[in-house]
This record gives sequence, structure tokens and C-alpha cells, in this order.
Amino acid sequence: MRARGWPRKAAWSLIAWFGLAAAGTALAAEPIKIGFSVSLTGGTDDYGKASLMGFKLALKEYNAKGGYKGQPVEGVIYDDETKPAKGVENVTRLITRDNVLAIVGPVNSGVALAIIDIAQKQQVTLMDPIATAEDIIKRYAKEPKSYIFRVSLNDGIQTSFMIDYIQKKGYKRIGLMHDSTGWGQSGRDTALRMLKDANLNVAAGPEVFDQNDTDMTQQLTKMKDGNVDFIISYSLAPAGVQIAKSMQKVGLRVPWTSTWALIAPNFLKLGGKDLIEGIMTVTSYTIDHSENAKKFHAVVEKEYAADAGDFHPVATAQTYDATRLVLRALDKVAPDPARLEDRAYLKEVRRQMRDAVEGIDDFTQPVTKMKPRPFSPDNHESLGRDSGFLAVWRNGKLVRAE
Amino acid sequence: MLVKLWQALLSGLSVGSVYALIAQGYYVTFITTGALNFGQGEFLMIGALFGLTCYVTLGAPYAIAVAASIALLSVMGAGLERVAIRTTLRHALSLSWVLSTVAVSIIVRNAAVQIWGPEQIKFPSPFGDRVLHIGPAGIFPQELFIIFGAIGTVVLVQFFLRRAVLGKALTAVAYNRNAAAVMGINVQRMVVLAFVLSSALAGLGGVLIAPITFAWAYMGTVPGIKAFAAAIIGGLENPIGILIGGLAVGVLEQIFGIINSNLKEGITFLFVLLILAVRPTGLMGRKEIEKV
Repeated sequence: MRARGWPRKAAWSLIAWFGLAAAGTALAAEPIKIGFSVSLTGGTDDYGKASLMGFKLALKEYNAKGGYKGQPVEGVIYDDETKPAKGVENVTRLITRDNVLAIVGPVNSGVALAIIDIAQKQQVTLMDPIATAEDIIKRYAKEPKSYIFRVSLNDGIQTSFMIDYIQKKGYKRIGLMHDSTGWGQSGRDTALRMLKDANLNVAAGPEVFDQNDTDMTQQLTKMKDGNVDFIISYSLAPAGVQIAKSMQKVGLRVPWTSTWALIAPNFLKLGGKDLIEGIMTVTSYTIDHSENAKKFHAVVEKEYAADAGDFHPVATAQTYDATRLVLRALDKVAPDPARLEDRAYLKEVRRQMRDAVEGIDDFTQPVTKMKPRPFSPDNHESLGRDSGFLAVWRNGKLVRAE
Repeated sequence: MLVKLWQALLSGLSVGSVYALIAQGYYVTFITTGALNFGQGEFLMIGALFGLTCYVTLGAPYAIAVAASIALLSVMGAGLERVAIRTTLRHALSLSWVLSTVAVSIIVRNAAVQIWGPEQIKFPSPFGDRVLHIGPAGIFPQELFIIFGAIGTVVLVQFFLRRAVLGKALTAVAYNRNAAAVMGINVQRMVVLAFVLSSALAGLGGVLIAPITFAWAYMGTVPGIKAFAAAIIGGLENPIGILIGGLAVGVLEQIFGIINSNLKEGITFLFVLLILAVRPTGLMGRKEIEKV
């Protein structure tokens, strides 16, 4: 009896299993996913945490308005620990296992330069909301279709604001300093090239320092001896504070600027408002530069009150816009969620996502300063020379440098 | 040029005296047990961050914060000896203490990241932020305090080792363990004392330099290594050599910084290699004579 009964049982259970599986897919289609990989720990985690706020907020708003065809879009969030190898792992996982349609990230330029190759090869849109190295966009700019986009001011554009300011003020003797990281060295090369193009004289430097150095008196004495009237320095916030302190020691009083690294809230915390008074930095966004920005700032302050509010406004704002651009592209492509299990279809949708991002021409509510058509086939930088400016610390607040 | 040298000397002395302070900690344990704590840098970091909690968060006076850090680190030193040293020094030739102290240092660092976070935190100087001018060079009052505090402590430690009964007992253990034991000195207790003293010095170093370097979980690694280099340069068994080695490392870095800022980081270790090649026992170390 038992021996004869088993084929029938097996047949029934097989049918039941197929049936359940089919019902399962019909009931809960795999949600549409957007990948997000930034530094939530490690050297640039300040930017990463603020960036995550922008990402979550953009998704939350999108889903609150009904999401994609009534289904919420899901964000798959990974931490790259500010390590290029970890970034590569994350992006590979997002593409091959999580089946995301596009990726937002990363924060760190070193990580970005390691992962853009994968995104380009696998034909998945990578929207970088923070990292500034020029090469991130340049590397694939000549390809027929580049999958790499950016919502951030690259190092070259940032340096051009400095040079504009120097020329406006008529400074003649420029000092150049940089930290010994890859970012600092590429910054030095960019600055040297652009200063030369502008016929400006490097009177002292380039002088190098370690990003954790606590005494910059030697480098600054050379600046003093070179009679510089303006200093460009590629330094992160802690080194920036040490430069300001050592300037007091050697008795050097000249205006100086770094890139946007010195808009980090930690710069104010470490230095205190008196020490950093008058130090300049680059920014693409201030919390009150437009109506959109003001509204957005209020929302972030409210949403993240528990995390000390809007602690790094620029990173949050840029990621918010970057994520909204990706979601806008999703609406335009309008894929069929039920078919995304099919790899060939998924790949096709990803290719269309890229084209859609490039073609967006109705992005009229940015919180940063970008055009309604941020990208084009030969421009994947949404923020340009008209999107940022040199800002100066006055009484603990950033204002436009006049 | 003279102005630059003077500034380099002042800046170098303040960094160097902290190296000397940490290196003195290496010395105390090395002479008694032949082992040293490779986590001195991390202990320094705990001293700084715990001092910060007392001074800024709890609002205690700076002197109390310094004392609290020294007390905490003393306890940690005793714990380190129990966990990472006593268990590994059972065999005379064992080198496992290298691994066990490094392991403790990693645990301590990760714990610090969990408690205080990974970022630099401002440690306001109790002496204010106004630059003092000594001749043409500028220096922060805190840096002057570091120089006097660190060198003074090194001298005090030497005084303790040579004059106080407890210190003499410790020196006796260093000189000859067995003879000391026969004379009724509790060797085990002296070993614990050596690690307590060594860790306390690191803790003091931490609260001293934090107002200059900021306090953060990763602040200890570089001073720890540079102090070790200073100890090698000066001779691990010679306290005066170590003091001079520490100050020399600090000043040399600054002086080479004048010539080229790229040289600053590497010069210490180049100097270590040079010393090891020419005088393996350090600048002031005695030559070891092995009688067969």
C-alpha cells in the first residue's frame, strides 16, 4: 500500500509546490530596487551619513506619493567602509544578486575610481552624489555610452572658483599646500595646471603635509618667506584646523581656501568659530540659496532632529537630487516589475535607465543649482561653474565670499 | 634660517617630549620583563579620550581629568599584565607577548570607536589658545606645558627608580630576578608595578597632547610607533638615552621639514635603520658582552 501510494503523493506535492510558487510571484512581485553604497564608516563617513539622509528622504517622498505603480521602491543600502575593495564588493553584489536598476554612490573618490569600471562594464547607471575626482567622469566620457553620472562639483570646477576669486581680488603671489593622500596629490596637479593657465605665479610650495599632522609651522614658514598673498590648500577639516593654528604661531595672516572639505561641520566643531573666521571653502549649496533649498532644509531638520538635524547640508542635498534624478528616470522607463526576474529584460531596463537619466529635461525642482536638463550625451556633470561659489566662514556661518 | 630652526626646535621639543614619555614606558617594562606593550599608543589614546570625558563632558578640572586618566590606565596596565603578559611569559624565550599586546591594542581601539566614535573631537586646552612668542617663534601654552610636564615626569620616574624603596626593588628585579627573589622581593608584584607605571605614563601622555592633536580613536598609532623608534635610537635599556632619543626624533622631523616637507615622515625610520646598523644597542646603550 505504502509502496504504491508514493508516486501519487509526490505528484500532488509537486503540483502544490508549483502552484504556491506561482501564487507567490503573483502576490508579491519582487520590488523595484535602487542600490546605495557609500562610506558609513571610515575616513569619509561624515559625508556618507549625511548622504544616506538625502537618499532615504528622496525614497520616502517618492513612496509616499504612491511609489512606482503603487509599489514602494526599495533602497538597498551598503557601507563601503571607505575602502575601494569593499566598494567593489558592494557594487558587484548590488548588480548580480540584488538586481538593482541603478546605483547611487559612492562618497569617496578613491572608492569611486575603483568601482566605475564595474558599473560601466555591467551597464548599470552609477550616480555619484559626492566624490570629486575629475577622472570619475572623464574616464568613460569618450565611450559611446558612459554609465557614470555625477551630482557634485569636481575638483577642477572647485579650483576654478578659487582662481576666479584670486583674479577678481588681484592676488599675485599664490602659495600651494596639500595633504599626502591621493586626493591631495591630484588636487595639487589640478591647481598647478590651472594656475599656470591663468598666468598666476606659485610663490611658495607645493608643500605637503600628512593629513594627521599637528604642526604645520615648517610649511607655513615657507609660505611666509615666499611673501604669499593667498594660499590654496587641499586639506580636510582636521588638517585645516592645524593650518589655522600654525598660522597664528608663525604670525602669517593671509586669506586662504581649501576645497569643499572645509564645509564639513566638524571643521567648525574642531576649530571653533574664532579660529576659522575668514577661512574660505567651496560650496554648491547653502541652506538658504533658493526657496527649494530653504524648504528642503526645514524638512531635513525636522526629519533628522534626533541626529542633530541637518549636519552636513551639502552632502544631503546633492544625494537627494541625485536619487530623485534616478527615480525620475525610472518613471520614464516604466518597466514591468513582473518581468524583472528575466535577466535579459533586466539588462534592457538598465540600459534604458541610463538613456533616460541622460535625457531628463524637466527637473525643475532641484535643491542644488542645476539646469532642468542636467545631463547630455557629452556632459555627465550636472553641477558646473554656475552651480557653486567660494564661501567664507563668518561668525560660525558660511556666507558667499565677496 | 635661524628663525626657522628656532621654530623647528620649539615645535619639535613639544612633540618629542611626548615620544620620550611613552618611550619611558617601554623602558620600564623592558628592563623588568624583557617584554613591552605594543599597545602603548592605544593606551595613550584611552588616556586622552577618558580625560576628555572627565574634562569636557563631566566638567571636572583639568588636574582631576589628568589624575583620572592616570588612574584608569594604571588599572588597565595591571589588567594587561594579567591577561597578555603573565600568560605568555611562562617560557623564557616566548615572544607571544608581541602578539598578545598587539591583540589587546586592537581590541582597545575598536572599543574606543564604539564608545567615542571614529571622529576627531576637540579637547580645549586649559591654558587657552593664545600663542606665546618666545623670540621670533610662536608656541601654544599647552605645548610649553607638555614639554615641562613630560620631561619633569621622566625625571620623577628616574628619581623613583633610584631613590624610593619600591623603585629600588623594581630596579633590583630588573638587574637580577633570581637574586631579587632570594632577597625577599616579590618579583611578580614588581612586574605588575612595571606595567602599571608604563601604562600610567601613556595615559598621562594622552591627556597632555590631546589639546594639540584632538582626541580620537586613531590618535595613538603614530606616537606609539615613533616612541618605539625613539627608544631604539636612544637604547632600550638607557633611560637618559631614551629621553634624548625622544626629543631628537621630534626635533629632527621638524628640521628635515625645513629642507623638504616630504622628508618629514620617513626620516625617523631612516635614522632607526642607520643606528641599528652602526650601534645596534642604541646611541647610549651599552655594548653587550657575551661571556662563553
